Amino acid sequence: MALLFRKKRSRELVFIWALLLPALAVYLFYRVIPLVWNVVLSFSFWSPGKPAKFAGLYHYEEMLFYDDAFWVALKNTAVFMLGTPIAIVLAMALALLVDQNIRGRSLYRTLIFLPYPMMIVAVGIVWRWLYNDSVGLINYVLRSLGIIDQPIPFLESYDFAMASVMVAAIWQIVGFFMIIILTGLQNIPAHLYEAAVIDGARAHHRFWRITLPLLRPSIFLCVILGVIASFTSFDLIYTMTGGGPGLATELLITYIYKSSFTLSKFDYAAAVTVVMFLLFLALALIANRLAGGDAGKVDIAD
Amino acid sequence: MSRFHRIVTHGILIIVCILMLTPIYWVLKTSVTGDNLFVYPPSIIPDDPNLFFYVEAWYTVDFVRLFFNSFAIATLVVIANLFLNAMAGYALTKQFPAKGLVLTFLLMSMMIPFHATIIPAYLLTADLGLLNSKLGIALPTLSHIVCILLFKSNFEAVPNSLIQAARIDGLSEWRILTRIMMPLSKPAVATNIILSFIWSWNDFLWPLIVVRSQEQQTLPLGLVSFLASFEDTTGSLYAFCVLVVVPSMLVFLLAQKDFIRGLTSGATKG
Amino acid sequence: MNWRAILINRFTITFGAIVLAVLLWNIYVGFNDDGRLTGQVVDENGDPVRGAQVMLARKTVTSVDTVAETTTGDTGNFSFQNHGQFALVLSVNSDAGSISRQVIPLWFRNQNVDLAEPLVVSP
Repeated sequence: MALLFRKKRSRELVFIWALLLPALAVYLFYRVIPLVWNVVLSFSFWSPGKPAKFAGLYHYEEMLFYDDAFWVALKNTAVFMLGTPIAIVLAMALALLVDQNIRGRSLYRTLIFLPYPMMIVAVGIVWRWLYNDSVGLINYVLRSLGIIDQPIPFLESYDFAMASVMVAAIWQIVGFFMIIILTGLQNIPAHLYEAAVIDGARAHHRFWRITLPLLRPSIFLCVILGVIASFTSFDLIYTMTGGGPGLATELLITYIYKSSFTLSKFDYAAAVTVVMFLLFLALALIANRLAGGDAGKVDIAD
Repeated sequence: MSRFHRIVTHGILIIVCILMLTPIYWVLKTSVTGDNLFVYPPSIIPDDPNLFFYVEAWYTVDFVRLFFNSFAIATLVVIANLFLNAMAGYALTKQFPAKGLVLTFLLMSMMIPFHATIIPAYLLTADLGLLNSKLGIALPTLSHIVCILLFKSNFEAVPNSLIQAARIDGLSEWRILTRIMMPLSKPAVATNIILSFIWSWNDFLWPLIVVRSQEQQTLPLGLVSFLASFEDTTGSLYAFCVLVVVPSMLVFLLAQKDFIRGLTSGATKG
Repeated sequence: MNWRAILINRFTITFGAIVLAVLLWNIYVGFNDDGRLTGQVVDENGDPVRGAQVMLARKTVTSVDTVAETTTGDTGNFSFQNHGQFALVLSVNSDAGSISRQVIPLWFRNQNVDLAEPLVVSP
């Protein structure tokens, strides 16, 4: 009897592992092994077709002390990240509006979410043209309203290029953030509000004391997504500005792409990638700690 | 809610919706008129709309080939995701030694953005001889951890008595998964399909790295090379943009109800 | 899962309708893509122009170049076979006048076209 049970149990174990293995293999081969490989690569001299040689900290020294472009890209990535709080505040306001009992709320919700499934490459092309200085809609509107006299070449100007790309990024992501915050709002038990009303709490008190604290997991999920987006917004930069003018919109990820796949400096780009990954990890851990330390909630990450 | 309050709410939401829809309207409008590429001031209402730019885009870029490349990859990714994620999710609802280890492994992998591994991923794909192939493009996205966790939480919500009853009826574990668990977790299935489809359909950086020949180009790559050869000189570019965006929009609009429900259950139960 | 639920839901209906539309469209195209182009050239008074030179050009996004030419007959009629274009760019030269690069957009490559309106040349 015991033997039979053990046999059945081991068959079940085989079954479980058979179910798990395909998915685990994907992560092993396309997340974990590349990560380790990347770290090894960053400590070696290597170019395609040549044997690798140990390089120690050579690439890191070059990056940190001699490469201005790296620092510019790092600064730009940090600036790009500032779009996240703006998007979250907007999304929060929209979510509060849509959460009310008004007619057509599901239509509003769908319309605001609509840009999110759009292909980012197409979004970049459309916005690039909205920003055009001679025929773009944005310049036209600003000129008609008398705000500016001369058309502004948004994407070719050092002052506006970064902000312009950020506006396009916020436009696309805000609906997704709104949905996340909205689901958080709908999970707040109604009796908390009822109790607060009975206690005579004003609307803004209810917001600061009940809504905001209970929305923390949703908000930090948005923060994580925003942080990831600032590290991975390759498509938008590639189609809208190509990193220019000069280095004005160069992010770490576009810099990595250029150094590795156009300049073939794979080893150096690997070192930049390690720095990018460590930064991401630090920010994600901070956000996760602030959200209450539940890693399972920090998902939807691609 | 007071009448004034209601009007203000609608007013703000309508303005926001107009702002969100303006770029979409603008690209649609130019794709049917092609005007105001050179005209200033631009006209707001389409004047003499026609579908000629769609015809031109269709024949200029060999749309059918691009579409089928993208579609084949997306189909492969969606089916693989459905199977791999549901299987892994179901396995994770059971008790077995090293379960904690597997969960830790998954959560750790989730903290590695794919963008942070592109260089070795490229070298690895080259070693496997899969550069410039559909399988090579699809491989890294064959499973998404978010969706595994989504399936796990949905499967855990299925009443245990149902599974016991099925076991007594003599259903095999595999049958329980496909015949009982999956039909009962429709929101998770919908979310899985939408997310994996949209991510695969819109993916740009990885195909850009892996694809070497025209024959294997996907839609985003076709769009970018179209942009590179013609710049903004033709309405066809915007007609092409519309054609490329429509499928993912369609999938989203059709499944949005289940999608939002699935996302909610995933985000709250984790 | 019963067959009714699989057949009648919004996904099957939407994608089925799309597949059906594509199929019907391709059948229609299959019967109408011999690339026949016929038309007539007239002068400003509406009289047919004989011996006018009609040129058909290929239009791409960036360029226009002539691919075929013909001359009109006694009744001012002309025709092309298998023109192979998805947009017709017609130019006419004659004693009575000319037309330069009139564009007629088509729906698909090699579409059969019988121009209902005659091409009116002006000096």
